[in-house]
Amino acid sequence: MREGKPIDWKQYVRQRLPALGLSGAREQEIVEELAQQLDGAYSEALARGESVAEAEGRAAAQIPNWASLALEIRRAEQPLAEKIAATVPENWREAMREENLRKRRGGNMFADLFQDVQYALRMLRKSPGFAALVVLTLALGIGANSTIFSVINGVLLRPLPYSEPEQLVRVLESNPRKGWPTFSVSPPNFLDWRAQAHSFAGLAATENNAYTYTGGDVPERWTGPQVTEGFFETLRVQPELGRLFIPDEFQAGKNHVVVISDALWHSAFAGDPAAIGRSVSLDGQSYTVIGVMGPSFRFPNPATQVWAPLAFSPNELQNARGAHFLGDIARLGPGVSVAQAQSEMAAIAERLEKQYPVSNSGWTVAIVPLSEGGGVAQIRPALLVLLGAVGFVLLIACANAANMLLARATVRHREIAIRLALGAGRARVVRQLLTESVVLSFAGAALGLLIAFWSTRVIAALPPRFLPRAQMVSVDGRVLFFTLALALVTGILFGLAPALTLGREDLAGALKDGGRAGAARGGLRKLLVVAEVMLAFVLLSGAGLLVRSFTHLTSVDLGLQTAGRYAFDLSAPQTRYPTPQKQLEFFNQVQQRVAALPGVDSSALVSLIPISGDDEMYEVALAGQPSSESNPSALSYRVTPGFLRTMGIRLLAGRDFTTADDLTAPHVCIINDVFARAMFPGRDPIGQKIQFGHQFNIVREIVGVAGYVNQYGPAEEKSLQVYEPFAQFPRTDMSVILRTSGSGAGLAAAARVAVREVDPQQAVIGFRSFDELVSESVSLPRFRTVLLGLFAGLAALLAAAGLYGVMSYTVTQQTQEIGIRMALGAQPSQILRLIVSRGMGLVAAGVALGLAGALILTRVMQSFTAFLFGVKPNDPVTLVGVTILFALVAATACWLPAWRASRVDPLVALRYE
Amino acid sequence: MQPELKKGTAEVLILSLLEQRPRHGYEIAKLIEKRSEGVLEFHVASLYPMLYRLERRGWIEGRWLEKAGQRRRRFYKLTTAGRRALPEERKNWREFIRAIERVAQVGNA
Repeated sequence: MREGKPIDWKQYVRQRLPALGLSGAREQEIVEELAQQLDGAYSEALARGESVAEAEGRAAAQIPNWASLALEIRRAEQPLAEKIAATVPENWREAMREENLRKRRGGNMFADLFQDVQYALRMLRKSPGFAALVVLTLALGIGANSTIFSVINGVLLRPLPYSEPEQLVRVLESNPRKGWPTFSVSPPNFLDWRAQAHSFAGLAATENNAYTYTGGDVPERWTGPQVTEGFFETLRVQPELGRLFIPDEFQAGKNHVVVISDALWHSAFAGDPAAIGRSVSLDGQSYTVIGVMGPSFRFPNPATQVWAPLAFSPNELQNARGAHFLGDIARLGPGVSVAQAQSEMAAIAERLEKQYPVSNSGWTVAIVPLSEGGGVAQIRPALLVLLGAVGFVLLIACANAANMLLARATVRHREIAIRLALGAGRARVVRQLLTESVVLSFAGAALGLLIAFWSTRVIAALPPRFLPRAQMVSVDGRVLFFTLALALVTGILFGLAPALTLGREDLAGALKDGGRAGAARGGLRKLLVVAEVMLAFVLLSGAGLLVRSFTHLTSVDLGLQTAGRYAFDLSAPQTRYPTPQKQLEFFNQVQQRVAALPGVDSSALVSLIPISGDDEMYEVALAGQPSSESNPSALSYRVTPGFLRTMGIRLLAGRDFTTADDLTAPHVCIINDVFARAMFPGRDPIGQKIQFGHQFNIVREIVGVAGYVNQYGPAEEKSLQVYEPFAQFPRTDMSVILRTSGSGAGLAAAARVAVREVDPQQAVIGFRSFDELVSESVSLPRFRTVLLGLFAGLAALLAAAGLYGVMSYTVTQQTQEIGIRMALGAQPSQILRLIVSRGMGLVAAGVALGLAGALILTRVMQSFTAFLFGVKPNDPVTLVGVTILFALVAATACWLPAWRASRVDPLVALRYE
Repeated sequence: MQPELKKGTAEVLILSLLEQRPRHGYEIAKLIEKRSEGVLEFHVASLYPMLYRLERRGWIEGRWLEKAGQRRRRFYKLTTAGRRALPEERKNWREFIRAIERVAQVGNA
């Protein structure tokens, strides 16, 4: 290499290349690389033997225009410019590929669709973050809908698991005069119905029963009905194993046979086929197992374990027309409608009313389709409200997804313009964009189905008192279909607005514009946010009202203390304890042992557990008045002395029972204050005498007045209550109440030992705390409150996310404006206030609309019975509370982007494109 | 269209050159000039921005390498993404050229 005058090429480049606006290090690199290029040309020229001046000329010729080079480098280096530049050749490629595909497939509709889907998948793969966010938003919305639809499908829509289930009905007694729409059936009435009615292909009665089984390690309680002839035939079910009852077995003495459930077969016989023909001891008597039902057969309720033949005693047939205790099941004859059966049965009931005026006056018949029974009618409004709520959630999710698509339109519109320029029809482009949104919503639906699968499994495990027919809830074909249809509608719904705005793209403008197009899109986005805020506000108001109702409900004075109180049921079967005296002795012994257990402060016996929701009611009358249909009814509690104290029930006047109130003493009773006010207004009830239903002829003297106690749960109407000494009216089934100041742990086991010491054949049944009982009594309100609250929270979150997205976007759009303001001396706090106030304007519009919507919708909610408790639909506390909550959430969503904007460097902001 | 056409040409050329082994900017410029027998002489003013653009796109990757006794140079190598994109680029390019040819012939007829 020949010696030349050494030139510092870096210096040379640095002097000529305009500033690139890149990081210092990167600029240095570029300068160095360009310098090497020039040096290379220079050295090469020298090596070829050219003069230094010639070589310098060669080097200088490498870069004729420094300004345009700098521009080119800046465009290549700046990511935004690069992105837009990169889409151009990319779109040439896409366009060409598309043309080829169309040629090859002959352009039919399915090929186009397939191609659209392929293209959509490619586009989404290119922005996985965006796709994931949209899919997640939609998955939440669709998942919530699929879940609630699964519940509605299982509980309200899905046919019962019996052959031709629409023919199955319950034929029940009804006494509109007393306000009892449906009531249990008395045996003589049932037999008359069966003899006279022609509407039914089958009619069979059931009587609930429970047995103590003593064949296992510990005594167990088996529950299940006794059933009349034709029961299994009416339901058209067959046993899985063994056989069903034969007519002979419905006669007294021959009826010691049982058919057992699949679950019991597994738990008690380990699924051994040899269980058939096995003899089991129930209530100390021997029964033969003759059949096992299939796993899906659980009539009349999921807890059913055993079926036995029902044979009425002569006494039941002659004198028990007024004793209502049977359930039943009937199958309508071919072509018979419920209305036809109803009118025939009404006529029969009318004849019976004339024939037996004493027992039957006021009684008629109500026919209830089986699908409506078991609490389904009560849960329907809650489910419909929830369906509405998840519909709102999905709408909000759609608005969010639409917002995200609109934000992306800023990036997409150049690509779309190029496609239009290449000759794609506008309809074609709109269809392509819709395909993209539908692909997104299908992905969301797939994820949503996973959510539904999981949540329905949780719901299906709920006990029936929580949700009737819960075990029927699952994701089946219908739910799948619903979800797919929903996904399609959702995709079109949230994709339509962005697709139409993009499809209308102005070609020339889009190609010129560096990505700040779409004032119209901005307006649409704001509109969507207002709508989101409105929907979320309505939902939150509804949820707020339910929460307020629920707190009212749970703060109602139940009239007793529940803390540290426990109860269990106990039987003294007639077969082992044939006389009232023996039954009394058995229960008293158990009670004394339980009272002596360590940690137990006091205990008592009661025939009916308060707030359990069970009832036992009889007519009451002042002494000397005749039994009459117009007499009021009162709840009956047979208790031991100290029951009121053990339960923390107030004794308002008079005295509690004592051990002296026994079989030999005059009959006494304690009434509640509701009773006193109703029957003895302005008089002292103590010393008054009444007659009471279960043994009406006996006159009882009132010795005390107790406070009112809730029997059915906090929302009930207040009923009359009568307490009587257990010692004066013994019976075979009682409950033991205990109160402890300790934790209650180990109490159940200790109680079991105490019972076993008295009689190893008797089981402790259903040991539970009173806190559990109270919690169960509000399980339906809790179910709807928790779910609606959950969905409202989800809605608020989505709406906040939407608001945040729009605010971030707006702030980005306004970066330049912010820069100018700050350059002119605006303080960050002023910028913050400006941006937040713009966002809150949207929120205020949404809240105002939401308030109007809430007032309408909560009024609808109120029209459902027992939905609101202690609050009015326009409850100011709820509405103001929700508004404040919303304002806070919304302010946070606005504040974050505003805070970022206020920290922008004015210089950067001004340069921002 | 004219600048796009040029850009497309150069991209395919650069990627093809880097397919065999990593090269530095000066070498690339020389090779393009030599292989096209002088027909495709293009300016450094186009080459370097192109390299930076390809690097930003993730198709090529530049790295400073120092060889014994020499100053450091920035060597560009094809990334996996670039290697994957190349056949498609070539194919599209050929299709594009063919389309141009067809159009040109139609214009002649």
